[in-house]
Amino acid sequence: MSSAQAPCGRGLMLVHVKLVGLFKTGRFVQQDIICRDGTKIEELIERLELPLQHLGIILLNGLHTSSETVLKPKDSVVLMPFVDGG
Amino acid sequence: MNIQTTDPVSESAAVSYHRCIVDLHCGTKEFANVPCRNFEDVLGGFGRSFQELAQRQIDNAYCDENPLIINTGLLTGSTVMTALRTYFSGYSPIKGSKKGLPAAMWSTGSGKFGAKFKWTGLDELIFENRSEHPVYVVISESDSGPKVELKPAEHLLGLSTHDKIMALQKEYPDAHFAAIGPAGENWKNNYMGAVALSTENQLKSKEDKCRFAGRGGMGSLMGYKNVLALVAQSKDKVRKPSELVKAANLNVIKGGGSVRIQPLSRGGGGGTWAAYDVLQEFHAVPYNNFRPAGNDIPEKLFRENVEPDYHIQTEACYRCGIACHNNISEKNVDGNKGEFLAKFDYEPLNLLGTNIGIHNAGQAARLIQLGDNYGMDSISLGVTIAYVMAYNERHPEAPILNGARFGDYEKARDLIIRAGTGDCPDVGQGLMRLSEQLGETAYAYQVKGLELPAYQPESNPGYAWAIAGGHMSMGTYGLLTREGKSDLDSWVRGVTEDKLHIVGFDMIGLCKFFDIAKGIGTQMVVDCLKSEFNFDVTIADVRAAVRRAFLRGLALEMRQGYSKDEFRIPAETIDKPNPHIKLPNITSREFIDQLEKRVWEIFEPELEGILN
Ligand code: SF4
Repeated sequence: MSSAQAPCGRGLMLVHVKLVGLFKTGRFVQQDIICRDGTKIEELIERLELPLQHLGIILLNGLHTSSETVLKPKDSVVLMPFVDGG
Repeated sequence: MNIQTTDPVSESAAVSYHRCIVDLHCGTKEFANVPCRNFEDVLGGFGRSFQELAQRQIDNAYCDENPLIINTGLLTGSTVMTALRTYFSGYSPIKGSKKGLPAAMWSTGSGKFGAKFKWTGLDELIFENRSEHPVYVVISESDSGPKVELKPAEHLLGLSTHDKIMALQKEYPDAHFAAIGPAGENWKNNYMGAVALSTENQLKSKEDKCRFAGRGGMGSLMGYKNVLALVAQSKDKVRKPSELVKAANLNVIKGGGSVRIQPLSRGGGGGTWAAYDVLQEFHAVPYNNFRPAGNDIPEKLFRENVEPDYHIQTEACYRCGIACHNNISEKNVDGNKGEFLAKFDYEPLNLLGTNIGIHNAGQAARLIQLGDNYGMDSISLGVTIAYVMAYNERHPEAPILNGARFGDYEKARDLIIRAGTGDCPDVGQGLMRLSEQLGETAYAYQVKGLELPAYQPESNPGYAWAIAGGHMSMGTYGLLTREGKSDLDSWVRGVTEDKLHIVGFDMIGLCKFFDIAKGIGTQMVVDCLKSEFNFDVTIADVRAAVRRAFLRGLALEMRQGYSKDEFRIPAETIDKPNPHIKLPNITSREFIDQLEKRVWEIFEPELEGILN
C-alpha cells in the first residue's frame, strides 16, 4: 500500500510524508506514500497508526493545516508531536 | 487556611491565611491569621504576594524594606496532582526598568518543600530587614501551631545548594529544604541566585536532583537577607483523594495535556526535551545566541542521539504521575547507570548547550549541574554567557572577560564558576546591565531585564508582556509554532485574553503541566476546589481572579518606571529577520507596532486604579 516505487495514476497519487520526534520510532523519517485521490490527512494519520494524543502540528507544504485537509499529488506533509517547555 | 465560607469570591474575608512575619534584624516573629482581601488572596502564590508588594515603594532590591515573601498556593499540599509549588516573591535584583527601579517578581518550583511547609500550618512567611549573621530558618509544626526559629548557619556558608540540603538533612531527617548556593551568598555581584528545593529522589539517592525556583534572583534576595536555607519540618499529611480529585488526577495523567510530558516508556512524549525535535523542524532551536543557522547541528542533542551514550531516567516529584524530569547520568560499560550528571529539561539543556555552541551532551550536563550547584537561574546564566560569546565573535580584536567563544566548554565553565563565586559581576548581574554597559543591546536576548527562555522571540513577540519572565508568565510561545497563528487578531487575543491565564498556576499551587493548554479556569480546577474546600466558585470567578492578578503585575511594572518601549523583544529579531527560521515573520516593525498599539488599547484602561 505504501511503497515509494509503486506506480501511480488511476486514482492514486504520491505524497511525501515526514515524521518528527516520537512518531519516527518504529516507522520512518520520511517516505513517499501512495494514497487514493481525495485522501484526507486524518486518513493518512490513521493509516500510520500515529498516537493521536501526541499529534501537535501538521504542516502541509510548509504551512500549518488541520487533519481534515484533502491531500493533492506531490503534497509534502510533516506530522509532529508538540511538547510545551520548561 | 481557615475557611468559614463556601463563597470565597464575595466573602473572601471569611477565609484567612496563617502568616508569620520575621524581622531578621531583631529576630522577632509575629504570627497572625490574616483575612483575605479578595479571591486572589485566597488562591495565594503571587496573587497574594503581589498585593503585599504593591503596598511598598522600593527603589533598590537590596534594601531593608524589600521583603522576601515565601508562600504556597491554595492547593499546595493537597491531594491534587502536582500540588507542590512554593513561591518566592520580592522586588527583583535582576529584573528592573531602565529607570533603575527593581521590578516585583515571583519565582516558583516543585519538589516537596512546599507541601511540607503547608503541612506545618503556615501559609506565608515574610522576611523583613536582614540578619547580621548567616541564618537558616526552621518552620515546624507544634501543638500550638506552626513554629519559626532562626538558627546560626555559618557551617553552611560556601556549600553548594545540594550540599547545604545534605548537611541539613542529617540534622532534620524528616524535613524538606529550600537552599541558596554560593551565588545567592554572593548577592552583591550575582543577581541571578536561585532557590533549590529538595525532592524525595534527592533525599533518598543523595544525588543533586533539586528543583529550582530560578527566575528573578529570589535566591540573591534571600542571600542579601542572610538566610541560607529553610527547613520545613512536619509529618506528611496526605489524605485519600476524593472521587472528584481522583477523576481530575486521572484526567491529568490520561486525558490532559500532560501526556506529552510523560515518559516515553508510558506512551508519553518524553518530557520537555522533546521540544528539540519539533522546533528544529522550523530551524527555531536557539543556537549561538538565538541565531539558528538552518543547519542540523542542534540534532546532536536530540534524545535519540544522546541515549546511546548516556543513561536517562525519568523521575517525578512526590506523588506526581506526570514524571516530567529526565535525569541524565553517565553510562557504565555494562550499560547500567553511572555517576548522576544533571536534569535534562529543555530550557537548561538548550541554553547551556546548543545556544552557547556546546553540542556534547556530557559537557552540557556538566554545565547545567555546575550552575545548579552554585544556585543560579540556568536561563539567566546561559543567555548571559551566550551574549558574551556573541560579543566576542563580533569583536575578535577586543574580546571581553575570558574571551569565551561559542563552543568553548572550558571558558563557559570558567564563567559559571566565576559568576557563582561572585568574581564575575559582568555575568552575575545579568544581561541587561552587561549589554548596556557595552553599548550593544540589539542582540541582548532579554526583555525588561529578564533573559529570554529557549524559544526564539521570532516565534513569540508576546514575551514583551510576560510579567515574570518569558514563557512561564505569558503562554504565547506556541501560538505561532504549534497553532500556526500569524495574524494580528490572533496575537492580540492571545496576549490580552487566552494566554495570560498561564499565570493562574502560580497562584493556586499547581504545575503548568496540570493543564498547560487551558490554565486553571477549568471545570477540573473548580471541581478540585469544591472537593477540597467545599467552595462554590465558577470558571468565570477563577478566570477573573487570574486576570486581575496578571493586570496587577503589569501595573506594578509600570509603577516601577518601565516605559512602553521596554515591552519589546530584542531589536535584532525585528531589524534583521533570521532567514533560516521556517516560520511566517511576525516580528516585522509594522507587525510589532500594530500589536503594541492594540494590546495597550486593551490593557491600559484596565490598569487604572488596579493597585488601589
Ligand atoms: S509536573 Fe514535574 S515538576 Fe511538576 S510536580 Fe510533576 S514531576 Fe514535579
